[in-house]
Amino acid sequence: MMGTSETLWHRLGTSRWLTNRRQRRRWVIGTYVGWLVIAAVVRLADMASPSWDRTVILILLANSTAQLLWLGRRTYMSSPTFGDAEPDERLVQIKNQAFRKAYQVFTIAAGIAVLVIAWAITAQPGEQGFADWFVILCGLMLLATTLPTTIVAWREPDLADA
Amino acid sequence: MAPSIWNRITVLRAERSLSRQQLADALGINYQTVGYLERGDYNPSLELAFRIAEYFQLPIEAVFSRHPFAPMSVQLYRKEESA
Repeated sequence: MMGTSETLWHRLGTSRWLTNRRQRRRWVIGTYVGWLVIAAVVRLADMASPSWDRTVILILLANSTAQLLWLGRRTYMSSPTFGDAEPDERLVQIKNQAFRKAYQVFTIAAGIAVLVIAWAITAQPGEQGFADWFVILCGLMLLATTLPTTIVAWREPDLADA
Repeated sequence: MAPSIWNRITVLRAERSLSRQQLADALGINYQTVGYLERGDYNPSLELAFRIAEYFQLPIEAVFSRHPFAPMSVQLYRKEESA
């Protein structure tokens, strides 16, 4: 059983300022808006540039890595770590709700992504089609790895209010 | 949303001059959870409810109720008057 003054966010291995909900929500928005910006860049980029695709891939990897690092790798992949601090029953409930919601959101996102990828490949053969589906795939990966944590980050109240 | 289970944790904790942290440590839960319980934002499991009642050394119905509690002072005076 937990017997210290740890908060949920301290236990998640994130820094103290993340106890502020407004900051957390900004980070969550930044996480996904960052991906949208990259997706927009891919759509608008000049395909003539020879190093273009490599640059985009690097940007995408950097974006995904940064978000994963920020989230302290507290994703479904490290769920044993997420739970090993023996959270109490309310925290377990929050975690389970977040995973359920993440699954719902991801299922819808994946369904839409498959349609968009199919369109991108068939309607735009060549590099643009490849770039588009790669960006969408990276977005899906970002969603899959970060959604449960970002849902908790979005929902948890300020420490002062709790 | 109105809580479906009312409790007297705030009063009992205040009577014993316990902080939320102290109570949380004694019960083995997060101190935020104590706040959620006190505000009625979270209904505890049966196991936690019993643990809380045992900690305060009271029957569970003295700590939790499906109906709002009358103030303790009112209940005490009523008992004294009827005795």
